[in-house]
Amino acid sequence: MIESPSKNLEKRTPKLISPIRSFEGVVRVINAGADKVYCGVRMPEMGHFVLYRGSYAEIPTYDELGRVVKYAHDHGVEVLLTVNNPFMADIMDGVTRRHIRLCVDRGVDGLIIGDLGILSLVRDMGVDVQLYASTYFTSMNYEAVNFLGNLGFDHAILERHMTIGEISEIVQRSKIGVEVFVHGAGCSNINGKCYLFHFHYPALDRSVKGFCNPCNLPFEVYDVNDKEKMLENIPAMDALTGCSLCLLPDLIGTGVEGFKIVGRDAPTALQENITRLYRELIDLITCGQIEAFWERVESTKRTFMAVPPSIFTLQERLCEEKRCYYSPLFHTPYRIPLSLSAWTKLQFSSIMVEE
Amino acid sequence: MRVSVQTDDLNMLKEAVESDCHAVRFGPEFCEWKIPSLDLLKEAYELVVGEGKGFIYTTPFVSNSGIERVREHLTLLNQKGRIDVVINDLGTFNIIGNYPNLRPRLGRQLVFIPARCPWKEITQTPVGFFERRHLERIFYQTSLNYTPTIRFYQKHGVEDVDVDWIPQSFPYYDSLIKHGFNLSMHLQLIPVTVTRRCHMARFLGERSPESCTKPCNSQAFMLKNNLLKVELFLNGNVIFRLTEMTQRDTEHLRKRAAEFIISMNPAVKMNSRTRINALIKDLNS
Repeated sequence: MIESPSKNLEKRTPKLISPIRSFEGVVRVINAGADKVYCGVRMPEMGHFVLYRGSYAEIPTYDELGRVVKYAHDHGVEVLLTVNNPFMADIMDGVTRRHIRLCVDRGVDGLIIGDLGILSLVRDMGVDVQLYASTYFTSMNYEAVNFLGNLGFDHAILERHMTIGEISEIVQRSKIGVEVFVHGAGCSNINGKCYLFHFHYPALDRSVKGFCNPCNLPFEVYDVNDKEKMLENIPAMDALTGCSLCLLPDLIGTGVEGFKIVGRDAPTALQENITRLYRELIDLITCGQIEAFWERVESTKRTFMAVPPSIFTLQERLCEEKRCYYSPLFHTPYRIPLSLSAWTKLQFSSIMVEE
Repeated sequence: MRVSVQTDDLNMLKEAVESDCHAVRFGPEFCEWKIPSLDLLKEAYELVVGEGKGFIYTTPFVSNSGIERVREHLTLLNQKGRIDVVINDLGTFNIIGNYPNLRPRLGRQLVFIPARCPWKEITQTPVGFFERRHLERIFYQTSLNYTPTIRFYQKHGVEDVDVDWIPQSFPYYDSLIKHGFNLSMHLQLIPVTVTRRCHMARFLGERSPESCTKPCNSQAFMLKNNLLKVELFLNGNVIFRLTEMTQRDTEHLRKRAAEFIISMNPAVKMNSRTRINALIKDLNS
């Protein structure tokens, strides 16, 4: 028997896990209320090997990581290291081993791992830190989460293409801690099974409303039986989600241990602002101030700039197209007409891009 | 070298069993809402075995409800005798050990191959010759080209793995063979990305997964983007790219791969025994 999400509301308050990419970032997100931070660190030997994020999304040196960890620990905050590769090969063993050793020596508290080979390597190194199974494992059922638990993971971060009910059932039937993403670009496709790597083509800078992944771009659509006649020119792959403010009470009710914010590559100000917003809202819920929570959510939608220096509010960029995390799976945001205000701003931003 | 036909549709399965293939893989590789009913699975099994062909059961990545259906199917198949099961989900991998007659095969969704990427370039940065060589040596590997990973899967009874027809990765596939894996090579279509927010269903206005009419059984679309310089194929919740099969590559793989897999997919108009047989003839010529 699966408990309803609301029954779990008082069980625990999820930890807020924020992304950082610099010392400045860790200072600002901790000040904004993060319980844990996560980051990558640049691997000099893998400089040009980029799949999803450029090296600008990572802390540039091991020394800076050391300063980040010291500051975080002084403030009672854990630091998790994202071990970046979604796969492992023999020729990467040496550099990855050295990288992990240098980071663990700087005092990181946990490793976020997305590949069984990297897990084997870490266990072989005898590293004594918490292990987090990344979304690269595409954990979508409790058997998968328990499998990861049996292998030695302490936490699993679930895939985003799920419903609240599915998350709730996994939490109740899993032996290890479960965490979910709550804000930031929630992929149109399954994270660990997507090869539309985010190389920085000029095309990606021109996508609509600040979305800048290949899956957000318009594609000409043809029937395979008639490749001469274009049916539509639309972002056919765009199912991006970005926010779960309205879902927070339900998500807390599932009993998940952590809320993770997307955006190691985001501007530091955004990392800080999103952290502050979620901290405030989580606290309102856990203190039982539900009315104040909803008032704050509604005002946020109208005023919060989704991606500074974006000109779009959260309402215009995400809410109007119902780009909510954990929303119905067949929702089609690109079919929803833009509001007058969003349309006007879009015309304005197009002119800016052309210039 | 054996040839298998992959399908999740009973009508297509009937074409497959009438073809010159050696085995039929039945069940969806990517979509849990296409997992057949228990009765359909029984019917498919009887049809395939009745024609003297091998039966392989294919499973996709699944949610909680999906894993329960897979469990029910594994229980049934375990009673039928020794059967291979293609696994694309860690949860399914977790439970397969409970069924002593079932042999796990590693599906494409559990093997990470960066070179599935459809972009022409493997880096955005202009790099020199030696740096490029270094990048290529990483980019064309698979997640199985790591000795501890190989040991892990072999310890769990995996002997067969599914991979894609990516010529630049062939040298790394050879290394898997040396380590004792049997390679099952998918022809024609390489999955570039998959989703649970099915792009085809959303494009065609389907309301929900539960009520989906499965237009992917008969339709596919080509997607073009001139800035990205790609042509992709949309079928159901998968975006594919096409791979070119040259005579030279075919000869190379004929000696190495244990199995060639033909997917019955509208994106490549593979929908009849005639087309299957024509492709098998091409592979053997």
